[in-house]
Amino acid sequence: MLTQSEIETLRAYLARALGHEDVAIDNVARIYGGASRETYSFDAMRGDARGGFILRRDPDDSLIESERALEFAAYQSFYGRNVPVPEAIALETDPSVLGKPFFIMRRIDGASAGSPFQLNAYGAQKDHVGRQFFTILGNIASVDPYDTQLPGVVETPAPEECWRRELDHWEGVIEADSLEPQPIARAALRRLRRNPPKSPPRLSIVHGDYRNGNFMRDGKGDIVAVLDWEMAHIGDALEDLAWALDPLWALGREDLAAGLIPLHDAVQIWEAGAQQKFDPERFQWWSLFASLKGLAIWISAAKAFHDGKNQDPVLGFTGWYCTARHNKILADRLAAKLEGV
Amino acid sequence: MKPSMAQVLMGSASAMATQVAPHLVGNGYAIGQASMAGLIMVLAAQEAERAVDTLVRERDALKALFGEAARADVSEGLAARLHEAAHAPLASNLQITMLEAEIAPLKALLIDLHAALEEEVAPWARALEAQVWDVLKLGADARLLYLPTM
Repeated sequence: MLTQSEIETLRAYLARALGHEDVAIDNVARIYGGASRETYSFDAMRGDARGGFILRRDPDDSLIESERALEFAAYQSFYGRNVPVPEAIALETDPSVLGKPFFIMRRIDGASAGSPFQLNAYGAQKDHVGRQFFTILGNIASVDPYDTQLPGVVETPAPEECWRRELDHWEGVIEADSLEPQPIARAALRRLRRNPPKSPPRLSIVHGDYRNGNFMRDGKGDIVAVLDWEMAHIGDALEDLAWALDPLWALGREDLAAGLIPLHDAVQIWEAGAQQKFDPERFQWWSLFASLKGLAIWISAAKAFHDGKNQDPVLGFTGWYCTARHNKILADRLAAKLEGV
Repeated sequence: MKPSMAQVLMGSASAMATQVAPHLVGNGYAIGQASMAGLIMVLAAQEAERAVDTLVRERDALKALFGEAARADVSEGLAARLHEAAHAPLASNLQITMLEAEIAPLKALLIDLHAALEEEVAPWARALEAQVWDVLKLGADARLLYLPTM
């Protein structure tokens, strides 16, 4: 939680960022969720005007080791485009200001993010949410990375190297963070290396964690913000589609794309937004990779909890539940076919 | 142990959900943490009953597989490691930490065996590889956890 002194520091910092020294803040409250950052909501007032803001501060450890500058750049890159995101206000990388690096963005009121593990999370709005979900994902894929701030903060791979860079990264995470031998993850790594995918037709921005639970929707079921861009990078757009379609995020409805709409519809909607054809062969590789990447994230979470770096219950939950699910998903898939992806 | 570990954990989870979380109105972060802690108790209740059984079945399946693989046409060095692992004495007790320590080197050996089999094109290797997957699926199936309907 923020101390009184930190709240005053935050007030002074925001006042400078907004260019108004007479800003006051209140209603500071920590928000649940966003395991990769400490997230706080607060109001800022100046005269009769009042606005809501969000502070995202780096934790001691998190599910995902990420760069706050990257997430900030992603919000800046998409604000005002056909991908709804909160407005980014200020980024501070100097840990001496609030103890850890942080950034501030405008709060979106009247909307909430659902749990990715709640069965039938969207009720009667499921179809409406699903169509927007895949439209927005397609829109992300359609943006030219060089028309954004991301190339300044992340490496731009050659198209034929997208898969290798991602696989190398997550293999490194598994190598570094496994508390015990991981035979299913190792088998998936070998299978993916033996069967590399074709290059994407062009480079795209990849959100990196686009799934149920990482967007806010309003009372009408309209998606008003896509959140959690800390794993954004430049790569193959099918990486995002495969992650969104991983069975873990299917809300108990694995017969539907992301538990929301029929797969055929989802792909058509995505193609229209992304302005590229769906390649089922390339997708198979990214789909297997998605489950392996998930497993790597949960392995990291388990280690953080085990080592006492971060004992947030959500890391214990993912270390148990999500690890078990992804091991099962990978084992069933790899055992069903001993060659290829 | 009466009441059982699972009963105690489920009772505690119920208390978190029905007696603690509702009284944290206005503090969304605390409600979220209390609910997650309760959910973890639900998962722990499932593991409490079955964890030892899962580990023992997995250990026995690994040893049986290694005994068979040691007689196959694998390299001499690998065959010797497989034979040794298949006939190694069992852990002195059934504590979860003891069993996990016993199984860790077996899983590491399974990775080596699996990788070696994938390099071999002969039909015997495919048959053994299918058995490797049977063992891996046994562990993956046994560790699946179930969420309460929310």
